[in-house]
Amino acid sequence: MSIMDVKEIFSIEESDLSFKKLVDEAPLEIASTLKDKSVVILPSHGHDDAYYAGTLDTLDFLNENGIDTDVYASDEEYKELGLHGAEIWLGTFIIQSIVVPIFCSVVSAYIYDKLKAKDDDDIALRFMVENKKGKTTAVEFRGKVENLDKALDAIKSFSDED
Amino acid sequence: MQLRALAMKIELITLGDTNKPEVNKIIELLKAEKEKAVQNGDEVKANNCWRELQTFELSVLFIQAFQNIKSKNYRDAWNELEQCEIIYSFISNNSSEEYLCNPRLAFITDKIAKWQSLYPYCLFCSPGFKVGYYSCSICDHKIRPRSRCAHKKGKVYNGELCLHVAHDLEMLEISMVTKPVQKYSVMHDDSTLDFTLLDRLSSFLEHAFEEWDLNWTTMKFPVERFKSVKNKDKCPCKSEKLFEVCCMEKEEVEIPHLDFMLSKPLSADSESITFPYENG
Repeated sequence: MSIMDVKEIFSIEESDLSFKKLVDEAPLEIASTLKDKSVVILPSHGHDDAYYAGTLDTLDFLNENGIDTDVYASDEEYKELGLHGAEIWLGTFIIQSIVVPIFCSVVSAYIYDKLKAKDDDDIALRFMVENKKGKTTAVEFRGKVENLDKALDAIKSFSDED
Repeated sequence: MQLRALAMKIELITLGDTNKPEVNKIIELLKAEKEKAVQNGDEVKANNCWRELQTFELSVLFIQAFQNIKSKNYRDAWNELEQCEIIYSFISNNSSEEYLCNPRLAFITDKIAKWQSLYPYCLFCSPGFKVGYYSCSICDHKIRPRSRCAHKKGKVYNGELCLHVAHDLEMLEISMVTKPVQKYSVMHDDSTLDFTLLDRLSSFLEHAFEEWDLNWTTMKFPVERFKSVKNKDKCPCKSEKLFEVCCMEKEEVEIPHLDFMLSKPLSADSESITFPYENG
């Protein structure tokens, strides 16, 4: 393994973030629109106001495929990050458990069909699933696209737990 | 489309062909036709003209890249291959399957990645930045999460490609990466690199559109042939380990091997194997 190769990260942990908490702390102009969303895309990479390049394409794709999604930023505040290399930085998503199965299939279609990702491409993402009892579990994955299934299988298993 | 039929009749194979007056004439005709179609509101025709112009440009760039490889201007060729890749992605995003089956387009897209795979480049710089906002290159609309225009990025409208223009850029950092977004950002000094693979293949080819293929395998050689490799050098088997802890004590070393397959017979001496280590 070369020093330039990225070591795979795959972690599952509990989180105290919830849809309610997000809506309560959201700027007034977006709080009401976020309330009923199935998926919310959160700022990423240690920034509290910036999203990965292509986030709006991801947002459109999810909405066009029946998943009611929004970003956690007002139109005025929204900024994008362009980052190093051809790695696919998908972003951080908080997901209502009821849409997890369809979310997984739409995100797969986005990665493979729209972004035309190959097995050897690097990808980074963080999925947070809130179940019906308000408990949130976060899955973080950074590694090769060919190993992405373990992250998708993990979040599917949380939705099965309901 | 009549213009397409005309365009396809032109033989565009060598750099000389690209400078022929009839090539320029076709390009000017296509541009004029596109302009006329835009004025008449004939979007289909305008987009067809755009596609033909892009396909022409792609062919010319690919020929230039090939000539630059042959002339050992490797970096120029690398940049032109990247441009070919970008133009092809725009054509592909705005064309039918049938159009993309055009043998020339299929040839170019197949060969771009194969030529690139023969380069020794492995380290690139890549900027990290924050973008304030994007605007649509066609209508100037400010793109926001809840406010879009009717144009989709990467699609052609009335013969014009829609791109998103970044504004209020804030530079954050420069990183070293192995897979860059911009392939032109090579960090190497070409004079220190080995371009044998490009040289060897291009020496067999007469022009950019001669058929060829390649096949990566491995081949074993007696360890005595690796005398020029020092104990502390990386192992020739590409394990990333030191030679002394990897294959130095073995009888044979298995190293990457590349076969070039050509569409024409070669003389017997051309089919020899090039061993990549000195005094081997």
